Amino acid sequence: MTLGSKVTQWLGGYFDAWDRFWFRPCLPYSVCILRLVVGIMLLYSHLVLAANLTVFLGETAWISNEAAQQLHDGSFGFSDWGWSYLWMIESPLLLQLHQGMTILVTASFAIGLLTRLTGPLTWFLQLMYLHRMTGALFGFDQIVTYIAMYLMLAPCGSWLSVDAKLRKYFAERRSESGLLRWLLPDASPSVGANIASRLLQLHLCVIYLFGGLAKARGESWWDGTAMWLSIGIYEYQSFDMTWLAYYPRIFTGMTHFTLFWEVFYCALIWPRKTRPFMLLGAVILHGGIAMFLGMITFGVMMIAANGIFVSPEWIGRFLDQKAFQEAGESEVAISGRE
Amino acid sequence: MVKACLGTEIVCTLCLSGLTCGYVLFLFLSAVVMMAPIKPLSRRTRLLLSGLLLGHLLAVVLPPLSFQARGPLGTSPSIASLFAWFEPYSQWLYIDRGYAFFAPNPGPSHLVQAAITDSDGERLEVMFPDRTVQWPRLSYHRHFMLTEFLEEIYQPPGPPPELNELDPAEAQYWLGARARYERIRQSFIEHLRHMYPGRQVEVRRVEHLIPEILEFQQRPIELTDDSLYRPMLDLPVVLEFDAENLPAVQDASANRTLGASAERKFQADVPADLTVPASRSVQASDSDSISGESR
Repeated sequence: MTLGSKVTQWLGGYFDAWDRFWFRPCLPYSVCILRLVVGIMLLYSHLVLAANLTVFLGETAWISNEAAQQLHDGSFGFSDWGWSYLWMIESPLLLQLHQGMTILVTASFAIGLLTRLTGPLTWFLQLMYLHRMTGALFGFDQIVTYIAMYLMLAPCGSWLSVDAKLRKYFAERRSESGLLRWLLPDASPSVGANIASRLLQLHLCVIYLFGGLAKARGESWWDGTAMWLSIGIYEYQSFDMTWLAYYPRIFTGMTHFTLFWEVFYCALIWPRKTRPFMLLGAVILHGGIAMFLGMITFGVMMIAANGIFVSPEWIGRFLDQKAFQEAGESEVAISGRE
Repeated sequence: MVKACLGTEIVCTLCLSGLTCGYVLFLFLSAVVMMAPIKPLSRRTRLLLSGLLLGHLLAVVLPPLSFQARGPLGTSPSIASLFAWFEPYSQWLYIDRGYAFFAPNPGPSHLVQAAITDSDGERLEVMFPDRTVQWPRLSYHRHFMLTEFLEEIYQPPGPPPELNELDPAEAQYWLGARARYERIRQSFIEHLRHMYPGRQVEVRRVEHLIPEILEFQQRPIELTDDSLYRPMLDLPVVLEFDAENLPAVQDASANRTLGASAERKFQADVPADLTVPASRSVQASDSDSISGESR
């Protein structure tokens, strides 16, 4: 074998691995569960916003329409590509109607009604709110938006959804119409589900890696006092945890765990042997943030996002035996066609 | 009411946003991907998708990388120039984040205190955020983020006259950053005036400190103890010239480089030994508001 062919073979191995990583069809169970969680959380977020609509949107908000636009359009010498039509809506009535429409779309997405359409629309509306509400956002807004963005690439309404019921109802017409098959996808393995899962998995790795690296620049994450500083911030507090001050071995241990877990997440979440421990770490870390640092929405969403690393086959076997068998049959059918 | 210019602005923004169009293409291709169980992807489609996926992943990685790659001399040129290609796409998708949660060190929180005075001189003082008023927790947290944002964009009055000669670009940046801070603070004031019509409103930033661990172990105090609150004064920065014309130094608070040949020294917003007295009330001299604008 010549050197050239060896190199070609070696490179071919990489291309095959890339191909398998991105384009191997996978079951949509993980993305369907994630749709349910992110839909409910977004719905909650929009309902809370509806109760304080003019506090955050419109001309009399904390940051007025004009000021919000100026933060992006270069009025102060620095601009970005964030843009939102909500900068233009002044009328409280129009804002309320818009909010009502957003709640309707998000609720439809949460229950899995026409997710091929409501998915992209939910994401787009959320993005418009983000670019309008600059300054009032935090990690929760980031993660729900990213998940919604990736979910629109996947058949996330094919299970645990109204779409699944409609699919059965229109079974005959669906078999003849490509549009209906696209609109009401079945829960069979698909490349879309795989791409959406992979993108979210990699995005999580990036979030944790840079979260960990940023912490590694701070002295308190090395001497162990960072956890004390976190529980000492009154504004974050849900429960008074200051008694931990008398147990330095515990709070410094928690600090070191957080730092190392975040830095090594991107490596240790992939091997099957270490994955369960990393997922357990995610539940402990984000559960702690949800319970003790007052960010329930953020903590719950991060735990749910980590669920993307749970094998959809395992979820199928565990939760929906019948659907899993049907999906398995269609997988055989695809393999046969390929 | 939707402004008349809405349509024009939408068209202009969309036309200029080539990378957004790229994302639309990505969505279109995703529809192709979704049909995969019915029709396997061709090699060409997979190649095209691979390119788009790589581009998207770069747009995900580069913002936090560029955030971390900042130093006294600015952002690493290699990363800055690469990120420049993906910046519009990242910003539009809101993936241009640094993910530096509680980093590099968890620090004190920043609040906004408002003094609201009616025509009879009766004065009401409120602190934002306040978990007893803003409910549910998500709403409270958004208020908290707003007050932190005001602190994050804070720029002292200025620039010092010397900076105009030393580094006009930097002086211009200073003016812009200061205008941004004043605009947002004024927006806060206008919001409060809308909530309390016909009253005079003054606001100031307040820092809520975290007790030192060793002190706390010896003498525990409530996290809401008055000694932990201190007002953030709005004072100008003083530049001091160095006889040897030392190179530019970093402004740690603003995370950017000052002009060359000058060393600067902060006249702190608040003297280090100053703490807010027990009343925590707004003092006119401490007030962060622009005179006249707050009325």
